[in-house]
Amino acid sequence: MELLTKTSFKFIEASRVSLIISSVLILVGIVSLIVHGGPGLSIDFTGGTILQVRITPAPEISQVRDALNAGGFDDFQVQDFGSPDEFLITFRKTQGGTEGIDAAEAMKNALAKNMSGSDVEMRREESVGPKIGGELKMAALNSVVAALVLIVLYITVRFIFRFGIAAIVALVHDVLITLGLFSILDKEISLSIIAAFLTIIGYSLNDTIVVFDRIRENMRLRRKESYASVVNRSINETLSRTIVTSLTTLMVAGTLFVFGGPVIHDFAFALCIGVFVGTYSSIFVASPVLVWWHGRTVNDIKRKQLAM
Amino acid sequence: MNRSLTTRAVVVIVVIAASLIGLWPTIQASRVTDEMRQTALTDTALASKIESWENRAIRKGLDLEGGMYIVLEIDTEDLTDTQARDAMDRVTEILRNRVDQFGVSEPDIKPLGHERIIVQLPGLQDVERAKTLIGSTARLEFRMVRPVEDVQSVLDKLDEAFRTTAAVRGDLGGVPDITDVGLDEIVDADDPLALDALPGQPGADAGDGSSTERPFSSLIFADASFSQMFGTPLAIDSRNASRILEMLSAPEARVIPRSMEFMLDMEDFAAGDGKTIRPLYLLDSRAGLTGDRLTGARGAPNQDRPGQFQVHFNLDRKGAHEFSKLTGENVGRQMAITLDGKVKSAPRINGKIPGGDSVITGSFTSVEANDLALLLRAGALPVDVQIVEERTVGPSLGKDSVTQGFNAALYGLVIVMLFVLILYRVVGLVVVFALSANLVIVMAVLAQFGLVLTLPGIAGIILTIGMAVDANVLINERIKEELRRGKTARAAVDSGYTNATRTIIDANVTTLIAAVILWWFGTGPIQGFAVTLTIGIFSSMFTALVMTRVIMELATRNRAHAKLSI
Repeated sequence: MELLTKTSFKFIEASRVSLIISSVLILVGIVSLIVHGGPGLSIDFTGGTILQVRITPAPEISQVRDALNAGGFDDFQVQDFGSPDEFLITFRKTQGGTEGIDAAEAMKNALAKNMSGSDVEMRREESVGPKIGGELKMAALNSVVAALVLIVLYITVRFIFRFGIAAIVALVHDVLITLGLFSILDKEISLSIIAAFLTIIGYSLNDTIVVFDRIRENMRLRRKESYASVVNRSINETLSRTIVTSLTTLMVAGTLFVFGGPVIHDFAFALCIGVFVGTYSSIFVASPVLVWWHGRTVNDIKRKQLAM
Repeated sequence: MNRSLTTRAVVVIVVIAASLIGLWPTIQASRVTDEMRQTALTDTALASKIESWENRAIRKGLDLEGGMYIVLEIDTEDLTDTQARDAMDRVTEILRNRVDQFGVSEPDIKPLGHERIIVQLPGLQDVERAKTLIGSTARLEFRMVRPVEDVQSVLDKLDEAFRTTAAVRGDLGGVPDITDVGLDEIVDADDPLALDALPGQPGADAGDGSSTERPFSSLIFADASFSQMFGTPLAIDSRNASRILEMLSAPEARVIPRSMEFMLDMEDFAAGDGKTIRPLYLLDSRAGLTGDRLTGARGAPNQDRPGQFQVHFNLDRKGAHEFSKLTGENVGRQMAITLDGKVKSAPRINGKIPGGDSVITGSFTSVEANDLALLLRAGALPVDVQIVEERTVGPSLGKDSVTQGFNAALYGLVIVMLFVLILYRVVGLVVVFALSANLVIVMAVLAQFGLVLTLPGIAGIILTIGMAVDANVLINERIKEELRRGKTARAAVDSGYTNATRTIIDANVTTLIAAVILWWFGTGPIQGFAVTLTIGIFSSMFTALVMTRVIMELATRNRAHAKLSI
């Protein structure tokens, strides 16, 4: 079976459209982030406690809320988690006179006491102190920045700086869109989502580098062609591979999303989005940036020559 | 056959064989049934076999097996660097001792930086019990309870001090918003306690501005009958506990003589109407004896009160001597037994206790008595510790995660393999082989190096399946291109691999950079992801660049002009 053998799509010319699409996506995300007052951070970063409980027979979510209210708790969130009888309870502040890290047990008791007749099973409990949360936040931020810097360095060494810049633009694009989507969908950024982001950063570059690699090769072979044309040709030549790889990766990320269970649901979701956006960006963002940057430097040289 | 091809073929076979051997215990261990475990109870040969499989099988992380992950922070505020280092070592050692006695299999206790300790307890479920066990300083002290005259004078002094500050500030300053339950509430309540005022303490007229008159003691219930029950005439409404502690650490509380100290009871007692009270003690600041002198402790049933438990302890010779002196000099007084700054019980000394054997009474369950005995045996921590992070996964969730992770991996693998077969037909078989080998190698490396498999780790493996296809796709697309340019199958395979190698390495290095950073930054489960991702990247490069190449070269070796079905 041949998949997209000889294509000659005009990707670079289409970059005006993609510029609009990307800008809109990023803008909507940023607006959502501003409206929500920054990304929604999980207790990993804010400090607090989550409890994953299974209550049988399955109650209404409001019953769970009432049971906790009756136990003297107020500032908490309850959400369905995976199945009708499972709930995720999140709280961040001191509750019922007990510090966050000790409150889990008190909450559990309140549930057991106020939902008599139901069986309350603790499936998961995570507590993070505010100090650790702050540190994890810094570490997460540092790790993302470190990944970006190291990758630009690597690409600069292996290719040239211009390629590194184009790759970074694409990466920031990917992360911004995924971050924006998380904000729009009201999903929280946790440690595992940061892990997904880092994976996206690494993975999204696979595509970009394969295209860049081809551009470099074609630049040597076709010296007479315009830069834009070589870039466009390279994208077309690698298109089949890009699509096949993205598809297989999407397939596994998709199975993870569908079958992997609620605990890694958001993680798998971030991966799916990342793979999708990453593929799009290596074709429609990284390469046009490369062409644009090249055009600018060439113009600079011409201007300098005219001035002389 | 050319030499290098032979060598490479041998390498490939050895790697696959070694991986299968490395994975064998894991496969065996996963096939152990409950029935076999039953048999193993009597059949020692089978038991040792199962144990050996399980020891060499892939280790499951806490998120798959269930268990607790705790990060402790030691209080290094008043310590020099050297002292802090010593404290870390000592705390780690004591914790290890405690956990060993607690009977958790394969606990992991290790320092994290200069002031934190990670404690991982696989399989443990009782969160509260484990927290007490890990987080308690376990400083045991014996202190005399001060007589009623002292209590009266200290309360008066405190009231005066707080009243003065309040007058200066023009309000109740420093202690706003006090929940004053008032004595009458408890009197009205259907409870057996008869509330008499302390001598000179107008007890029953609370709620008429007494909180301004007596800012401190109006929060306190005084009753002679408490002395009978708790060994102190004072108690507070449990809800006021943090207020009281706040006031006692306020500057005004400096009027309390240095030789005395207030301490709350460890527990609350029902006072009717759903309310609870907590006894308050005025104790000697200096401990008559501390737990350092303990040589042994054990929980046992309380003979006098059936159903209740107590903790027996023995003291060393010096301790026994001090204890006998302490009790001998204070016959008839109350002696408080305190643990980490809270009073466990305050029994009356009925006579001199020689020999250094005694008991700690109080409302213990069997488990509580045994745990306290354990803590006392393992010794007190030299510094206070605080639990700053805690993550627990229940065994049922762990099992679910294993099933879901396994299913996701299986379906992912099947879908990708079908896709590859449809796309590349015969050559697709080679890719399918490479993917399977990739999976086996990743798992074998995990098993061989004792690395921990977590749920994100499974996700990492699944992701590598998808990404491992990439290298093969790059190669095959390259070969296709070469074929289109009119090259023979043999030549196309050769130049396809040569040209794709550089791209594959470049493309994988960036993911590798991300994985290494993840390893550095992540904790527990996330590190598991970084680990499988890293192994997966290396093994997918190996399977794509070495393994499939050997197969492809063997296949096209004698058919230089044959067609290749890609």
